[in-house]
Amino acid sequence: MSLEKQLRDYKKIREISPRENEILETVRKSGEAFFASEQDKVLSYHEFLWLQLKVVRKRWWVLQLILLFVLGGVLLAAQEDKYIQRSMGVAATLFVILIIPEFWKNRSCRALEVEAVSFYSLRQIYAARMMLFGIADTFLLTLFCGSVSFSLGVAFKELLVQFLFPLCVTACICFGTLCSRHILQEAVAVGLCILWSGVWLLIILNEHIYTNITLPVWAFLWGLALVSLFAALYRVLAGCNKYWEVSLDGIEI
Amino acid sequence: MELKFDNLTKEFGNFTAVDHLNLTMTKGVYGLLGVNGAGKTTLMRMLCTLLKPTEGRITCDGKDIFEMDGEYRKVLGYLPQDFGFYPEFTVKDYLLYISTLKGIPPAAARKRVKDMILKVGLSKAANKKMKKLSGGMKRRVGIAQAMLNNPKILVLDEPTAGLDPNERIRFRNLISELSEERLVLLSTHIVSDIEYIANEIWLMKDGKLMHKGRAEELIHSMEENVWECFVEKDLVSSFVKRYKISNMKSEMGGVTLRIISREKPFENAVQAEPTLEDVFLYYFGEKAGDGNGAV
Amino acid sequence: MVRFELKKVFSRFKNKMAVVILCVLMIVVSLLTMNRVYYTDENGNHTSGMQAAKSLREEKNQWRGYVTDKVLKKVLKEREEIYQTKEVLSEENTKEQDKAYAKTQGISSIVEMINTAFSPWRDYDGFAIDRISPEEAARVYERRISNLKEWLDSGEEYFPEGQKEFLIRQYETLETPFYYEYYEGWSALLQNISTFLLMLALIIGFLVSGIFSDEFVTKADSIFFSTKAGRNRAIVSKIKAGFFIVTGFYVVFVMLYTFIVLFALGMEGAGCPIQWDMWRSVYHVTFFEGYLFIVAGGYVGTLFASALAMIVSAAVHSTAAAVIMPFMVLCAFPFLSRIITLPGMCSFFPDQLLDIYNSLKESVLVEIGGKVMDTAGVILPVYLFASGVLFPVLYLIYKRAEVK
Repeated sequence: MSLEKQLRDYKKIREISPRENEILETVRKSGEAFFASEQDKVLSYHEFLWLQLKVVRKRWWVLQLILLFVLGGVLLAAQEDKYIQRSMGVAATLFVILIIPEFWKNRSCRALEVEAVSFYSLRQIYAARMMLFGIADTFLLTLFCGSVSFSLGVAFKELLVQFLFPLCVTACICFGTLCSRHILQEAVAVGLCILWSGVWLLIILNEHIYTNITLPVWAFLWGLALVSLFAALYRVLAGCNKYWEVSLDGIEI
Repeated sequence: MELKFDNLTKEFGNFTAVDHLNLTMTKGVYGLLGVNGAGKTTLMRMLCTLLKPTEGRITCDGKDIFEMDGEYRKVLGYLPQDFGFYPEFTVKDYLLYISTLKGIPPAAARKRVKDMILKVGLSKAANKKMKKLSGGMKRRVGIAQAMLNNPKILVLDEPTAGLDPNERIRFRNLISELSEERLVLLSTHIVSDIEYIANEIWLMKDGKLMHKGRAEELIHSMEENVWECFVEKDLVSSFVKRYKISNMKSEMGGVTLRIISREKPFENAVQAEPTLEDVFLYYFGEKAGDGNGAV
Repeated sequence: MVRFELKKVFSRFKNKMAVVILCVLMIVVSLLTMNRVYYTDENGNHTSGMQAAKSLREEKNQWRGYVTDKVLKKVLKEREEIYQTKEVLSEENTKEQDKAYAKTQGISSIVEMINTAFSPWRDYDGFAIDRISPEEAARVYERRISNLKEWLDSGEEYFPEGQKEFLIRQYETLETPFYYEYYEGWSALLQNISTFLLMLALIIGFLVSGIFSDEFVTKADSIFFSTKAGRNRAIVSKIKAGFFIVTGFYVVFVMLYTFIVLFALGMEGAGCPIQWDMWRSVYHVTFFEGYLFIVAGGYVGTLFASALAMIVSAAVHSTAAAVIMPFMVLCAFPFLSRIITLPGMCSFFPDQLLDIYNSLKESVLVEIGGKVMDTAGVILPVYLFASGVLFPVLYLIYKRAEVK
């Protein structure tokens, strides 16, 4: 008798009745083994980043997109330079103000302490948010500047001076407030950004100042603003674990 | 697992919040008792690496916790006194979010969240938004998030604030169960929370450790006795000025006072069995008429 | 209670800093305003600021008085004598031209008036005066009216009959001759005050934005609303505090700014008609009256924006959302009107209250109930009324607030 025939006959003689309890026990134990091994693993940074992306409220990017659309409309319809300049300045401030709620979320919800003590602490959380907003906003701004440059013929110099420069300075103010030693409220950041908008309007409406600044000077100022922005970003990451060093006991200003 | 405070000091300008503490902690429950401003929260924040010591160090198995960075926080669970949360998240979403921050992979996170929700008794409220929870339920979520990563070191600052008596008993049992395998530091004003479960109780005042030991040891360390007596209402104010009063109960015709004093304060006073609350008052209490004495 | 509400506002570090920043801005804007006045000395060198104002005042006040046809002829002759020298006529010799200009600074405004009168309607020809005779120059006031009629008849811009009649009537009834003296202080003040008022409005909005939301932010809401006065008198105190902050800060800082500028540049010229600076203005007001109109408009705009900020603060319990409200109303919405093709609508937006200067200069007319008027004259009382209505609404919103 061949081996195969023997096995077939053996199968027919022997009836295997599955024992449900044992099966369930096996399932349970394999589940436990799986979770035990999962528990020992650490969430990778790109998975953490992805989960941060899911947590960030997308409404702010939608509002930024709408704002850029509206600004595009203004550039298309407005005829007087004064209104174009003013609109771009205001839009630049609003664009940055729209990121403030997301960066201040953990402060306004008083969740700083719990987050600071986690494995992926405040530094990684802020870095993740900066990266996500940086990528999204750079994409939106590139798209916007490219579109208005090609379709509306707006000169790059105008965009640099009227839009990107005030935007950069507003971002400096926003992150400068975030990296402050004191826990400053959202309203302070918004207020300072609005104040800057007022100062900017003062500059552009005052021809004696505005017309005397040449393109190289604007480029230098923009470069300075960009460097200050990166410095502020660095300070946010370097100083985010020092909020409790202030003896105000976390009282918000 | 051994945590050591080595000459630990924290100063804010001219103010010394923690003053040259030297302590060692291993597995078990440590209760931290003290009045407001004693330095309990500052100590806990240093333990959780939120504050850097001005002097001294904290080591975990010989390694400085600040140098360990993420590796230390991986084994740490913390519930702060002022526990904040994202109001729009549901309980489940919030705990899953905290799991992300604690570096727990998604599959394990889902199981842990489910287990913790069950453990703290929030199964029915798992899909409720955080802002809709009562104070006690929020606190329970706070406890759950502290334990998500199965921490070896659990630091709880006023964890039972807002919990009803049933919940407090439940919490006590939970901590007892957990402490077999981990180190738990618990700060509270509610003496009964730690009286029965703490392996060691630390009494802290003005940044210094005044006394430490088991509850019975602290009770026996009292150099004064506890007396109960029934007095007329108009005599109460004079007693309050002369002695530390741990309890006052108004009854028909008078007031029953529980007094801490070396000698018998009143002719009908009866010596009573001291409790940990009496110890608290003994070390931290003041008589009315003192500068900061409560009326 | 009002005192405590004010104390709550000014005990916060951020609000104290806002006041400091406001003071700094006021000084900066004052300096920028002062530098608007220029003077060229006899050597052709330019100066600006207080010294320039002093020198210019001396020059211009030599011609102080009513600018009659006799004066106009004299001005023309004087200018001709100065500009007819060989050196001045040489276009390459800018220094000589500057020196010649220096001699005519006393009559520069009159020369400009003549040039404007003899230029195309929305254009300016700086050499028109060279092509006219003294007799023509003497008819500058009639020229203003005839230019208007020509332009209205040209059809370049459409005006309904009622508005045409209104414009012509306003032009014909303007009192002439104009009174002339040094007015540069007032001119500089009016030109820059709108920007200062905008920043003042934004900062005042920032100061009041926390009055109604701070209770919720600091978790003092349960105590506040459970007290006896928590849902009536205490709310009135908050509204009063908000009103006092708006009014107090506005009045004090506008007065300070005005005083600094006029102290430096001179207060003369308050009684001169604004047509010296705004030739086409339909308003029969002097510089001082125009200033009052601008300041009144700014106050109503600030009050309205601040009331909105307080309402948002009370409704949403968020200071940040309240802070952004004045900014949206006074800065952001205006540029929406550039893309929403309803040009008439944008004249009624509240931001126009902080831009009364431009309304004085180039009026947008509207006809209501058969009566033609400038939109500035409409929006001022309307928004004042609206602000008045917002306060009871604010009271009701806060009274019904729930502590969840």
